[in-house]
Amino acid sequence: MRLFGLRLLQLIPVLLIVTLATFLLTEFLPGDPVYDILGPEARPEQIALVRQQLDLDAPLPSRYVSWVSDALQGDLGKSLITGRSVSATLRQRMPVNLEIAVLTQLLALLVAIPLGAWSAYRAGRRFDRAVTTTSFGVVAVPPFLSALILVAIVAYKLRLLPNTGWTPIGQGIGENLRYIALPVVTLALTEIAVYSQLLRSDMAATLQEDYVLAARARGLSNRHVLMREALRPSSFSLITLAGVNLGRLIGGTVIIERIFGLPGLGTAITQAIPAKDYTVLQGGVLLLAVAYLLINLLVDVSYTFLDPRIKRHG
Amino acid sequence: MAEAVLAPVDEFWKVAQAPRRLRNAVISSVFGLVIVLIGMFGIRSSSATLRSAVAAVGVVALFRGLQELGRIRIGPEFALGVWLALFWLVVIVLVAIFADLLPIDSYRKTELVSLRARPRLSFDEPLGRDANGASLLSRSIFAARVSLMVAFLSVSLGLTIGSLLGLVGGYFGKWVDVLVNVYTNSTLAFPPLILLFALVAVFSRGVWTLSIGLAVVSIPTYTRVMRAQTLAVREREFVLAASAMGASRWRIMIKDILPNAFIPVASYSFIVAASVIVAEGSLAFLGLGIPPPRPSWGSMVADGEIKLKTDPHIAFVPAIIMFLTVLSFNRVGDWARKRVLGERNLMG
Repeated sequence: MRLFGLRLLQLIPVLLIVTLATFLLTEFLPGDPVYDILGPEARPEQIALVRQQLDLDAPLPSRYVSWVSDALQGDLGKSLITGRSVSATLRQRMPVNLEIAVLTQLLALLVAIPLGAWSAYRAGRRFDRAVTTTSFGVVAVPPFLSALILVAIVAYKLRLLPNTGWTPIGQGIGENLRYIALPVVTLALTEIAVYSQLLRSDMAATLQEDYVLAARARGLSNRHVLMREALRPSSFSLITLAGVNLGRLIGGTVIIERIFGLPGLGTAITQAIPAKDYTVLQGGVLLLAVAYLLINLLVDVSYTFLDPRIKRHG
Repeated sequence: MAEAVLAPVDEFWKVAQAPRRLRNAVISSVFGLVIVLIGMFGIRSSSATLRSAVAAVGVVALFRGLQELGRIRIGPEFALGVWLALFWLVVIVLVAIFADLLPIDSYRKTELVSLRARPRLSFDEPLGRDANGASLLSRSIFAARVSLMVAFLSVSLGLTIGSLLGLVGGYFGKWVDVLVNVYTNSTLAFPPLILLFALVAVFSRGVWTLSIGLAVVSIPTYTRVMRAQTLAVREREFVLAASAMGASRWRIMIKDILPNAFIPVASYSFIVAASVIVAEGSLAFLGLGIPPPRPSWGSMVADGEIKLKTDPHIAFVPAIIMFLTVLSFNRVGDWARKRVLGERNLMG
């Protein structure tokens, strides 16, 4: 637990740097949110008034400090353009990304674990070679291309699923799954390829161990040996990567959101960039950074539970 | 254990089968080549899907035959895929560099005749034309220039800065390492695409902006690998010997550790280049890459997306070229990394 506390402490400077970088970056963005609020025909005194109300004229350090102190009290401010509370916007958008990220990881692991385990068992044989070759091919397809191909086949040709749009999970799981299926499959494709190769190489090493031979000698089935005996010790790299990817997917789906017209966080944040809506930008980046860092921390801590041999260094 | 017992038996079979292997390999190659030719030119009336399916079967047979031939002639570790990937990379790099000297149309030149011509080998535009009638071959080649330039610049920048940070952090340890770690974690925690979006909005949408942005995103990878390498090399005897002889810490770091740790780190560059090309393509696909009229694979695919139902080749020609390039970078990178590092994984 001491390790956990130390790692948690290290997050503070990281978060400060990330938010400060966002602040500086927004400072350099072209344009002025005041013009977006008042329109092109605003009089100078109106502009000055709004600037004062939004506290835009204060020097950067003092604005940063006041933003941080507000954020610490849970207040992320209001969007400069729409006036909506930033935390409400994020709360509304977050479920989309969480659902996509979690379903993608589940699908990827569900497919990749049997694939990887079986190719490790048949290392060098036809099945293994076919999986490896296919994985190489799949990894080389950028998500925007696989999205395009899937849309062309599933949505246009077969007319099975809608190509864009979104229904929240609250309005019916069936409808929700229809809209989320293509984005999740698109994202999962690459992950399946990467995970199955990772598990294959780790498991091929585990299968050389004597206890696996012993288990086989006892006449246990292939399935039992692979899934019950060999999987857990071979899954460390896999868990690390799945964790890192889960964190990354929460914020890294901008392209998929745009292609499939999903109302996610990435779209909200990227729309804030040209509008120079810095409160939304700040809040969004902060949320994504916290999610990413916490998931990584949990992955690191989970090692010590998975394998007691790992020493806890600070 | 069973393998040890069976090794002589295996050896016997290999020797006994040797002539048959050669014969099978030759048959497979010739058969594959014939099928490919039939698929490309033989079946005139049938649909494109059938022809490409036949050609694909031929390509697989040809590939396996040549792979087997190479294994027999050159050695068991011969990998045809790596050689093909290297060949593709060399060709695309040369073509991109000398694009101006090639006998191709300008990427701006549009034709009213033969609008949206489909790819056809006997035709003067082998890859067809896009919706404006511009040559897809020429546009793809000039797009390769942008992608490869961005990949080269950002990998060079990322490799230099990233490995210096990893070297310093790994060698000095303590607070220097903590600082480097905080920096790496901050970069990793910043959503990469949002960083790129913001950079593109702040600065102009040029090759340098994209390269610097993508370098920033790739620095942590190099830093982590370099740090792990430095920690490993630092414990070796020759480093101890150097410090016993009174070499300064900077000298040890630059003269002893850097040369030994650098090659493994640099071997990651091909894989980083592949991901840089994907990222650049994604930005261009969203309209945030190099501004028109300069073509980019991503923006070409985006142009073709609208015509996907009627003229799929407009999107798929650049898509396939991009795919082959990324695939080749990955394949060569995987090979390079395995040669340098064995099966070890150095991330972490």
